Amino acid sequence: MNEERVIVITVEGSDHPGIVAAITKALANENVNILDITQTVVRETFTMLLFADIKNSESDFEGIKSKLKDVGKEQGVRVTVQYEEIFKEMHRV
Amino acid sequence: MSSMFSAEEILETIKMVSAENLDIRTVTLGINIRSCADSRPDKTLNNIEERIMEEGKNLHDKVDEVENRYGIPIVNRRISVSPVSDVIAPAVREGYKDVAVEAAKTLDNVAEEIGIDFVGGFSTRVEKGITESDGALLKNIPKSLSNTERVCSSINVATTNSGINMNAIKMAGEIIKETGEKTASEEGIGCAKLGIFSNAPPDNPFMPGATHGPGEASSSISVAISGPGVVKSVLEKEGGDLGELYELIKRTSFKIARSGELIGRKVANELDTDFNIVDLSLAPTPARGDSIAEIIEEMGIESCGAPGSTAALAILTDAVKKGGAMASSYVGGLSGSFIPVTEDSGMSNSIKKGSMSLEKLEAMSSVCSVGLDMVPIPGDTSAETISAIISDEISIGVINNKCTGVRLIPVEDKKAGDTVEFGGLLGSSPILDPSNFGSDKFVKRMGRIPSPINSLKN
Repeated sequence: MNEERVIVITVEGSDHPGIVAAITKALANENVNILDITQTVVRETFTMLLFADIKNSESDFEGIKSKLKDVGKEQGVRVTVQYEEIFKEMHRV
Repeated sequence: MSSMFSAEEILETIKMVSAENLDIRTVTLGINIRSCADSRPDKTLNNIEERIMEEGKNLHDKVDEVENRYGIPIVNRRISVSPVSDVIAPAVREGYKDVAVEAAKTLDNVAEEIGIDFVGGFSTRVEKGITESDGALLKNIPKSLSNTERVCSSINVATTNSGINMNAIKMAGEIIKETGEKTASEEGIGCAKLGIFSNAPPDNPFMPGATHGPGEASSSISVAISGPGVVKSVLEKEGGDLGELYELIKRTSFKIARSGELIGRKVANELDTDFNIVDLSLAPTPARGDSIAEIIEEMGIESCGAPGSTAALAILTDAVKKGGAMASSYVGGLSGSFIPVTEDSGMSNSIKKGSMSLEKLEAMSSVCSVGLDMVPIPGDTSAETISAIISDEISIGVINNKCTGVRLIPVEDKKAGDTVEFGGLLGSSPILDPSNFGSDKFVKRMGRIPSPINSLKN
């Protein structure tokens, strides 16, 4: 029923080795295809934006989101997972 | 596809939620329950329960799902129903004069069962006259509101097209007084669930005025957005003349309203019902920064209520409407700015500081939506004075072709300047000072004030 499939993952927190690896590994395990990644570190604050397609995943949105939230907890970073549509609505006419 | 959005845009949305209190204030499911009417009270009550369960049993869970998918918090899930006075009419005609009290209990129980905090529609429209079933509902409002937790009530006493029913306004003063007395042990909290309106819109998703009015579909989803905190933080970052501030508010309102419409459509889709409207109202909460008064102060007013406050509020309200109207074609409900007293910590501070008064609130309500909202007054204020305050506010709505509302809370044993604490989202404030001069003779004249002329506008 739900035709949306592109999700936006936002990761914010204090920088340390392994954050990108942990998130992308979790996505690979769920068979989620990464479309785009941007990552910056400003004054030791790590920010990553990741666009991904979940159409080939066996898990649904809720399942993927909860896995990523777990990874966020392990890494001590804040993970937000949202369907892309909310950004389309808010930032494009 | 993904390069459509810059990091700045994504992070802006996330910050609106995490730091600036952006949320969807309520998703309200409107349900037509007129078909529940039966001359047997038990049958009427059973019908109401079944009908609400049928449409609303999945509301809570579906709203949770949508909230999770888009990452925009949805604070309340609510239900509005057809005005109950219509639904109890056949039973009242058969002599069951107190069926309204039972109907309120039924609404309260169903709301609890499906996990929603408020149900609106214990309501009636009496701008022209009061029918037998309207009277049966009105008489039982104090008892019903003091016996229930989740039921909200509203009375429409005037419209621009019909004029003002002073008989109903006189009754409304007595109803507020009695409801305050019946809930005196909780600082008159029953009155927080009762609004007196002019030009009440049929699709208002906000409590206590929410009803599923005439002309609405069998059921539908309306959404009320929020975000005074978002507007305030935009103004904090950027300077400029008033035209430039207006532009900033308009752009912000656009974004907030778009998120509201998306959420509304998704919930309607999940519940297999119609999407109705987005209500653009900026509704404050007691949370720090989530305040209309603080936006006005950010615009350059030393303390809300000082000269310039009405102009600042007019700028804010109009800019919110323009941005929102671009964002959604289906705008409805109240759609303005709310200036409640206890629920807005900035507003309650301005009363403490002495810059805000009942009279200034009334003046400001002529350029925003609703009116004298969550205003605590001394417990010994007479019913006639309450009615007279209502008549002033209602006249502003009728003459200016807009909705106005009154939610006054007489607090027993408190006088002007004392503080009342309702707690939670209802907040706190010093008690305001109504005039010491009486209006009894005016109110007791009663009668219908004719509808105003709609030309010769000056």
